Amino acid sequence: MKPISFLFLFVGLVGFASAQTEKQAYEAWLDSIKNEQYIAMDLMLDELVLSSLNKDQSKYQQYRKYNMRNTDDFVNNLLGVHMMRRGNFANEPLLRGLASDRYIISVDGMRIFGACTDKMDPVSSYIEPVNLQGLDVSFGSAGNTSGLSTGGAVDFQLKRPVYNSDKPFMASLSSGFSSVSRGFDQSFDLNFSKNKVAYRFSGVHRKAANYINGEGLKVDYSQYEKFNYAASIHYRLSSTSKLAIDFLGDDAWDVGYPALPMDVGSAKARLFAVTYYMNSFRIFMDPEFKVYHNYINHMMDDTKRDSVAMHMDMPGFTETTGTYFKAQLIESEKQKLNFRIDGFRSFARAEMTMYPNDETFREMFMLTWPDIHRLAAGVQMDYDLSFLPKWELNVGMRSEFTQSYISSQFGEQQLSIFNKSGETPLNKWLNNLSVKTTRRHRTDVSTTWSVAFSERLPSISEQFGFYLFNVHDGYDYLGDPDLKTERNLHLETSHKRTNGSSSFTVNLFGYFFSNYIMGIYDAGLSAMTIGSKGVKWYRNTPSATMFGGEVASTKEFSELSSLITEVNVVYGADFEGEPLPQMPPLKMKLSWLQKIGDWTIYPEVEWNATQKRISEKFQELSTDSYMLANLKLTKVWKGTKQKSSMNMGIENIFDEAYREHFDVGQVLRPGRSFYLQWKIIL
Amino acid sequence: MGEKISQSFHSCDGYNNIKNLMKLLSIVLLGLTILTMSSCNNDEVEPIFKTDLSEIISVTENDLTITLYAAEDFFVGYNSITAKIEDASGNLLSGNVSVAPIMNMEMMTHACPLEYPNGQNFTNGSFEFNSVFVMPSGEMGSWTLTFDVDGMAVKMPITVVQPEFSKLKSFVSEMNDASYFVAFIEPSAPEVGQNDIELAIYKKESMMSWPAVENLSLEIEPWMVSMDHGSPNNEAPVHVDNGHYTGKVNFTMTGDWQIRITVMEGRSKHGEPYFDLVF
Ligand SMILES: [Cu+2]
Ligand SMILES: [Cu+2]
Repeated sequence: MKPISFLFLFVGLVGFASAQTEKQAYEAWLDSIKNEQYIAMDLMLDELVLSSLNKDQSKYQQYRKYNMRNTDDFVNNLLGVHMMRRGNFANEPLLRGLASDRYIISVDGMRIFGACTDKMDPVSSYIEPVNLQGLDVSFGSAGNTSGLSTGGAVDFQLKRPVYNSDKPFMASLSSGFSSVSRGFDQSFDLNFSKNKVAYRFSGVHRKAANYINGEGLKVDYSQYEKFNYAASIHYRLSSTSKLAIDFLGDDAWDVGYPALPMDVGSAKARLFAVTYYMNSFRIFMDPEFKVYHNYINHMMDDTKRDSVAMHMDMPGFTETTGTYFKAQLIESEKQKLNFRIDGFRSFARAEMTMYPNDETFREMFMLTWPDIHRLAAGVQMDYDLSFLPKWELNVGMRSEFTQSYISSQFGEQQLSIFNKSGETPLNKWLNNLSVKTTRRHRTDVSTTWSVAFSERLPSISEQFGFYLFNVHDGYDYLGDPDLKTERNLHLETSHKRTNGSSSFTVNLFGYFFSNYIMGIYDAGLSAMTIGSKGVKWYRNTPSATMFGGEVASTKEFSELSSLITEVNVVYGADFEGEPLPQMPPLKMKLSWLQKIGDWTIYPEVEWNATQKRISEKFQELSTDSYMLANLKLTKVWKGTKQKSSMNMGIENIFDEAYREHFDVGQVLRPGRSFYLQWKIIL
Repeated sequence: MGEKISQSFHSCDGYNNIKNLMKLLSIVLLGLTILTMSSCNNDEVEPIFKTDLSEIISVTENDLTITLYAAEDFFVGYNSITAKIEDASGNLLSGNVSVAPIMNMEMMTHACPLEYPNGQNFTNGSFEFNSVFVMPSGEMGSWTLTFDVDGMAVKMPITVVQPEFSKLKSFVSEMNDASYFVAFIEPSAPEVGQNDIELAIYKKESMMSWPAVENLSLEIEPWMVSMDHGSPNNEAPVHVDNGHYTGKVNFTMTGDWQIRITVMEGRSKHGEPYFDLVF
C-alpha cells in the first residue's frame, strides 16, 4: 500500500474517531489515576512492564524482574537478546544478533546517541533498574517506535512519580554485593505526592573492582564506578491534564574496558524532558506532547594502561534535541489507531589527539566524527483491527525525512582525501510498512504472520567516521557519506498456546537485507592506527540474509513449581554466502522455579553450542561450547507498612571459563560469583 | 567553535579567548599604523607593490635603486622574489634585466638555479624572478645578487638562511653520479586533507650551470614516522613546465609528516630525497 492511500485511510478514520464521547475518555483517565495508586506499592519494587514480541507476563519474567540487579543483567534475560561485552560494564545489546548500528535505543521515546566512537556507551548504560518502569523491545523491521531501523528497537520507559493519597511518602532502599568483582551497589528511590504534585528522586551508586574470570585470573581494567540520579516532577494542571518534568543524570568514571586498548576517564549523560499529558484533546485521546534535550560527554583515557603504543585523547560528544506528539485517534473494541509525529536534531563530534612517544614529534590530531549533524522528522501510525471473530490485523507505517551533514571545515578537508564531501546536506526519505495478521484458533491458541519492510540511515560512524579502529576485527574503518539506506524485508510467524499458567511460544523469522552495510577491506589503503591490519570502508553490500527463531515454554507443575525452557537460534549469511559476524550460536536455557514458603528458589542452566560459523572477513575465531549453572534465591517479607526482599545467589557455579562468541576480544567472562541484595520499601 | 580545534570541551577556552583577543588587538594596531603611515605619505602608492610581501633589502648603485620583496627572508630553497627598480629620483623604470646569484666561497664560486617567470623585460619598475639558493650564508661563504639593468650593474649582498625544515634536498644520482637538487615549493601551508604539491628539480652541470630537469618521473609517499603510516590517494607529481612537477598530496592528520620522493628516469632510479614538514 502506498503512503498516499494511508493518508486517505487516516483522514477517514479521523472522522470516525471524533464520534467517540468525551465522557468515555474521562472515565478512562479517572481509571488510570485509580490504577496508579493501586500499583504504587509494587512499582517501588521494580515491577517492570515488559513488552516484546510476545507480550506475555509469565511468572518467571516477574521473578526475574525482582531479581534484577542491573540493566544489562535484565536485558540479557529477554528472549532474542544477547549482551556483547567489552568489559564488565555497559554491555551492548544484540537484537537477534544485530548490534546497535542496526536498532534504535530510545528513552521514553526520546532519541539519544552514544558518544563513543568505540561503542563503549550503549544508551542502556545510562539507565538503571531503579529508574526503569518498562521496556519495549521489537525486532527487525516491525514496530519501530521512535525512529527507523532494520534491526529493531529498544525503548526504556522511565519511572514516573506516583500519586498516592494513602501514602504520600514512599521510599525504597537497596544495597547489594557481588563477590566476583567485589562490587557494591546502593540505590534509593523516593516518592512524594501531595494533591496536585508528585515528585520522584532516585540515585544509584555502583563501584566494582577488577573481576575474576573462570580460570581464577584477575581481569585487569575491568573496574568501574558510577553514579546515576534522576528527578521527576508531575503536576496536575487540571483533572484532565498533567505536566511532567524529568531529569536523568549519569556519571561514570574510571571504567575499564579490558577488551579495548582504552578505558573511560569519565562519561556524563544528561537527559531533560518536559511532557504535557492530557486525557483528550478534540479528536485525540491520551495525547502526549514532549520536548526533550540530552547530551553525552565521553572522555576516554589510556594513561592507566601499562603499555600503549601511543597515548591518545579521544573525547566524544553528542547532543540531541527533539520533540514528539503522540495520541490515540480511535479506541474501540474493534479497532485502535495510534499515531505519532516527531522530530529531532542531533550533533556528534569526536576527536583524536595522539601523543608520540618520541617527544621530538609533535602531537597529531584528527576528527573522527567531524561535527556531524542529523535532522529527522517523521510521522507514524499503528492501526489494529479485529475484522472477523478470529482474526486481527495490525498495520504500522512510518515515514521519515532525514538530513545529514558535517559542519567542520577540517572534516571536509579530511574527506577531500577520498574526493568525498559531507558539507552539502544529504537528504533521505525513509519508509516503513508492516502488516501483521493474527488468527486466534481458540482463546488460548493463536498464530501470527507478519511482513514488514523498513530502512535505516547509516549510523554516524558508518557515514562519517574517520579511521575508527575496530578492536573486534583489527581494522581501521572509514565512513562513506554516499552510503545508501539499508533495507530489510522481515517475515515472521509465531505460534502461541497457553494453558492456565503454562505457555508455549515459538517465533520464526527471516530477514532479507538489501544494501546491507558492512566493512569491506580496501587493499589500496594502508592502516593508520598502530597495530591495525588495514582499512575497511563501510559499504552497501548487495544482500544479507538471516533466519532464526526463539522458543519459550513454561510448564507449570503446580502452584509452586514450574519449568521454563528457552531456545534461541540465529543464522546469518552475507552477500557472498559467508557467515555474518558476531552471530550468537544455538542457546538453550532451562530454569526451575520453586516456591517454598516465602522463599523462591530458581536454579538455572544455560548451554551455548560451539559457534563454527565464523566470518573470515571479520577475522573471527570459532568459540567453544559451554554450560553455565546459576542459582538464585529470593525471600520476601510483607509487612503492613513495609516490604522487604532479599535476593541472593551464585552465578556460574562451576566456575566455567567462557566467553560468548560475539564478545569483543578474547576476554573471559566472570567466574563464580556470590551475590546478595537487600531491598526495603517503606 | 574555532576550527583549530584543541579540545573544544576543555577548559582552555579562557586561555584561547585571551590569545584571540591579543591577536585581534595586534591586527587592529597594525591596521591603525598602516593607516597613519599611508596618510603621511600622500604620494600615489604603486599598486603593484601593495602586496603582502615584505621588503628584504634595498640597494642603490649607479643611480639605480633596487628593492627586493619576498614572503620571508631568503632561505635555502625556492624563493619567489619581486624586485622594484627605480632611478635616483624614484621613477619606476622599464627595460631589460638579468640576475646572477653567486655564492663566494673560499676556494670557489658557484651559482644556483634561477627562473624568470615573466621573461627579462620589465615595466613599471616591477620585475619577478625565482632563485633557488642552494646553501645558507655563513662562514662557508656569502651570497651576492648581481643585477644588470640595461648595462648598469647593481650588486647586492644578501643573507640566505637555513629553514628549520629543509625546503631543498640534494642527492647524487645512482644513475649518473650527477648532483640533483629538489626544491619543495608547495604545499607552503600544508593542511589536513588534499594539498597541491609542487616540486622543482635541477641538475648541477657545473658550478655555474643549474638547468631544470624535465624528463623525470616521480613517486611520492607521505609518511608519518612517529606512527609508521602513510596516506591514501596521492597523485604522483608530473612535469608541467621548466622542471616543475605538480601533483596531489594527502594528509590524514596534523603532526610531523615526511614526504618521501622517488626520482626516476625511465625505469632507473636517480635517488630518494625526502622532506619533513610539520603542521
Ligand atoms: Cu569510548
Ligand atoms: Cu598519524
